[in-house]
Amino acid sequence: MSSYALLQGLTGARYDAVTKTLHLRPKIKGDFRVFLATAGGYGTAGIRKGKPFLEVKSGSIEIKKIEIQK
Amino acid sequence: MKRLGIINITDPSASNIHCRLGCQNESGRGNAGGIHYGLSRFAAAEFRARFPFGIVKLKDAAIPLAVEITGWSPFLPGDADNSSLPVAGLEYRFINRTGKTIEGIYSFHAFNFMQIKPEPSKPRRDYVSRTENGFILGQEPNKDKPWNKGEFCVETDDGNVVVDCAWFRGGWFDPLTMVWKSIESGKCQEKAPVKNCDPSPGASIYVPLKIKAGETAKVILRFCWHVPDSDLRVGTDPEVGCSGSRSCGKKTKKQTTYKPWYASKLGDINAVSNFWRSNYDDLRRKTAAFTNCFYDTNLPDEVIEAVAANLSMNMNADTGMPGPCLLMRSCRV
Repeated sequence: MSSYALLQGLTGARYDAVTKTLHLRPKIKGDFRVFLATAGGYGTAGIRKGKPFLEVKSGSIEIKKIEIQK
Repeated sequence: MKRLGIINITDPSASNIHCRLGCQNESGRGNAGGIHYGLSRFAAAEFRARFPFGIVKLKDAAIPLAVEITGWSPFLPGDADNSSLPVAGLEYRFINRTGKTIEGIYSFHAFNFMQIKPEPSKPRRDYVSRTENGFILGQEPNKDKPWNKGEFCVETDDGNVVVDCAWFRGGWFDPLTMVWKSIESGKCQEKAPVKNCDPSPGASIYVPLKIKAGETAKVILRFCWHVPDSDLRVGTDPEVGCSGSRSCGKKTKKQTTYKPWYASKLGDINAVSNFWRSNYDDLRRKTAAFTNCFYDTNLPDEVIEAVAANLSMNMNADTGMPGPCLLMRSCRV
C-alpha cells in the first residue's frame, strides 16, 4: 500500500523477499522502531542500541541478512 | 437521525436520564425530517484514533457512568479477504464508578437507510425484519434495477435484547417523535415486523442493563451489510466475456453492474451475519495485534497519523468499508 511509503521514506525499511534481505536506510538519528509489512508476515524493524533488529509479530519473514545504508 | 445509540438511566433520584451515545446524520442531504438535532447528548467527547479502531469517551455530569465506545472493522495485513468484509463492530462499555447499583436501558435506533425512495403508485419494496438477536433493514430490487437490492443487519449477543421492528408509521417527524417518547419513558417493547401495510420506517434494539457498583457492562453491536450489485461506475463499462475492461473482439455485452468481492463468497445477509458472529472474536484479536504492532514505534506522531489516515482512506476506497470509527456511509458500495 502507498500508505507505508512514508515509513520507508523515513527509515528505509524494506524487505527483499528474493535475497531475504532487510534493508534499512534511516533518515533519522539514533535508535528507532518502525512497522514493517511483507507478503509473509509483519512485525517491527529498527535499530536498537546501534544494532539492527526485526521482531516478527505475525506470519513469517525469513531474513538472511540485514543491510544498513547511511 | 439515521442511526442513534442511547443510554437511558433509570435513577429514582433523578427520574429518567437519557443521553445520545453516537450517531451519524445525513449531512448535506437536507433530510430535516429525520435528523437528530435537538436531542440530548453528552456534554463532552474525546476521540482517539488507533487504526482501525476508533475510541470515543463520553462524559456528562448528569450521567453516573463513564462511557467508552470502540468502533472497528477487521484489518489484517496480508489477508485481503478478511480485510474486505462488509462488517463493523461497535462496542459500548458502561463503567459504574458510583457506590450503588445502576439500572438503565441501552438502545440503538436506525431508520431504514437502505430504503430507495419508492416510485409513485408502486408498491413499497423496503422492509424491516427480525433476526435472532437484532434486525435487518432491507430493500428489494426493482425489476430493471437489481442494484437497488441491499440489506443491513444489526445484532447483539446480549440475551436480554428486545427488538422493535414496527416503528410508528407516520409522516414528517412522527416516527422520530414516537421513538423518542419510548426512550424518555424507559419503555422497551418487543414489536414484530409489520405485515400487510406500509413497512416500518426503522427499527430499535433495547438492552436492559443492571450495573453493580464498580462494575462494567458491555454491549457489542455487530453491523454487516450485503449489497450484491452496484451501479456505481467510473470510466468505460467492462464487457462480459473479455478479461479486463477492454474489448477483445468477441461477441460480448456490457456489464451494467459491479459485484463486490464478498457477494461471491457470502450469498446473502444471513451468510455475512453468521460469518461475522462466528469470527468476531478471532478477527478482533488479530486486528488488535496489528494495531499494537503498528503503533509500537518511536517515529513522530505526525508520521504515524499520516500513515494511519492513508490506510483508512484505502480501506474505504477499496472495500466500501468504514474508516477507523463509527461511520457506515459506504454501505451501498
